[in-house]
Amino acid sequence: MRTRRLVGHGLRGMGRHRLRTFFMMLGTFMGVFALTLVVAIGQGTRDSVLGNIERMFAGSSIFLSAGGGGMMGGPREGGPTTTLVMEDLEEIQATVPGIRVYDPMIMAGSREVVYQGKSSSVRVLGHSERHEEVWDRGVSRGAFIGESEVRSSARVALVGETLVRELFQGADPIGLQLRIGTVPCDVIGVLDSMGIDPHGWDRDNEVLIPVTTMMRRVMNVDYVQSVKFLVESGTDLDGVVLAIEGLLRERHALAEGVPNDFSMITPVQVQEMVGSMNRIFTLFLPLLAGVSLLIGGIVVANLMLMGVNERRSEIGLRKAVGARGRDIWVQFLLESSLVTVVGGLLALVVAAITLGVIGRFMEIPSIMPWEAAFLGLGAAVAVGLLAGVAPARRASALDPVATLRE
Amino acid sequence: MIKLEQVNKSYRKDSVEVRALHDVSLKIDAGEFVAVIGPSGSGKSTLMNVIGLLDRPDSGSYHLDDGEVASFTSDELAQIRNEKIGFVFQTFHLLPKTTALENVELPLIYSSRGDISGLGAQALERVGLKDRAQHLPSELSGGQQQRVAIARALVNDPEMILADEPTGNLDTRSGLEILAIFQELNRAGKIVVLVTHDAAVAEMAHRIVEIVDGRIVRDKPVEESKDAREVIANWAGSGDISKEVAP
Repeated sequence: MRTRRLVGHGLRGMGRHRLRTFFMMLGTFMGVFALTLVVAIGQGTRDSVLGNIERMFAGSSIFLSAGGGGMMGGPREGGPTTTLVMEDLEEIQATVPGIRVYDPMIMAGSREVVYQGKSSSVRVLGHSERHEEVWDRGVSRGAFIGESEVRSSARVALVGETLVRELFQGADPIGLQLRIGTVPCDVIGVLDSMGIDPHGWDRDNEVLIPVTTMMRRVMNVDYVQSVKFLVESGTDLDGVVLAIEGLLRERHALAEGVPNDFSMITPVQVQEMVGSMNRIFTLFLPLLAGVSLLIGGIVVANLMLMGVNERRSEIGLRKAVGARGRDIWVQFLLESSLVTVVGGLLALVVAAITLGVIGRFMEIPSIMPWEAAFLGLGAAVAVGLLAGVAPARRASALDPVATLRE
Repeated sequence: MIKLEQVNKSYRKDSVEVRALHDVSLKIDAGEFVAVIGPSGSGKSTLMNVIGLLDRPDSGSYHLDDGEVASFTSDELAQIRNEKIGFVFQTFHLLPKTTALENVELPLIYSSRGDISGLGAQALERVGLKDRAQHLPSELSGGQQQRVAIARALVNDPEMILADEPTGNLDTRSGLEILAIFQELNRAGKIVVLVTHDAAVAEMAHRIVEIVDGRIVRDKPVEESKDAREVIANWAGSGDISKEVAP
């Protein structure tokens, strides 16, 4: 009976001091909100980055790119490396045991692609007919490029969904003709949709043509930029890497001491990369989250302490009319914990809505991390209680005589 | 019944030891109306805090009814304050943004009583503010605010009302009305202890205790105590109150 009266009275008091209650709530709200968003976007990004990397290097594969040193995608000196040619690849396939299949690649980051006077800047990729098997990406409609089309440098193209939507304005592009620079190509298929990759490329804003067409007709070069080998399972990958290295050094006539003019990435290296990224995410995210929660807690504690100072005479009066120290204590803890719980719950709701909006309008992976969110809420409540303890103790220890005299 | 024997109380103020009560012995029986007078700093407020269980004596004994106050825990003291004592302060001490009725009901929240419904409204009715129950303190005059504070002191039906300069912040007329309420409460059987520095206000009591430098220097009944209602009526007739109640 008495407790119920105390709680009801406390709640009405908070309702009367809406501004104070609001600012206290804001502290936890921002903490939990920031925590949830940071974890959601961090987790989503990690999952998609790792997913992409793992899909790229799934199974036993070796990625070989022209140009020495540096990491994948890093800057290279002195323009493109022109030494990796199709004959190198054919010989590797013929002489190194364990190579199952390979797919060469040459790419132009941005080319003018025109359809009926409408043009668009698009990434153009040259691949072989084995791309479907090696990269696990085929067509959703129409047909993939075939061996004869690669052999004959046929003027055919596969287009991504973004192009279908924007350049062809939603029409079925199969059988239509587009122009890549000056080269006209017949569209024979639509590529499987892949969305945005970790580097921010729209993988659906691409045209894929036979690697030979790309070399001879579009770029007029006789080299390729990279190749991905699939290796028979059970093969010693290090052995294959060494064999390829030896063969290429010999074919490229590299003298002793001259660095490789190519580089290779194997699943082992990728796993190391993924592992270190994972460590960054698992260390960094909780740290960020903890900091935001801590700030929320400090805000609540400070506002509570300010509240105690402002309400000295109120506390003195309550004691004079019969409040025990414990009653004052309970009132203040009730306020701080209620404010943090409500603020935290509101933050969860707003965060879920925000993530929904982000997911709809922006290409950022954003799944509501419910586990982390509720963990954060629990932590916020704990912080709120802890933040309330010191002010509540100070309030309950106030001397009514002194405060009533003020 | 209040009985203090050889009570001493000192406190520190700016690292100077002040002896606020010096061997004070005082007995107040049921139904008495006592005014405690003295210059500021004489210890009269300390005396009231001790009587009101807000402060404990350093030495000496204080019997309230039949209990020795020194033997009570602070939780027990809080409960006794809640049940037996009603406080009225010079600055009212009403909770802001809170209706008159809810202010009056504040002591009930800390009471161990079961059913409290209607008590707040009854108390407001006794001080003549039934129709202002839903007003906020900021919407009431000073006199009305003090009446709300008296209703709050009354709500738990205490044995005694302790008032510390209750008319100090009020105009003469409002002050007289407050004093009239105290006299009515006293006639209804409650002990009233009124702390004031105003001799005219003290004339309303039945007994005056004068305290100087922490000692009781005078303790005598009032020959013919004034009736606040009469003073108000006379004032209304003559239009001059200065002769009756000097500021």
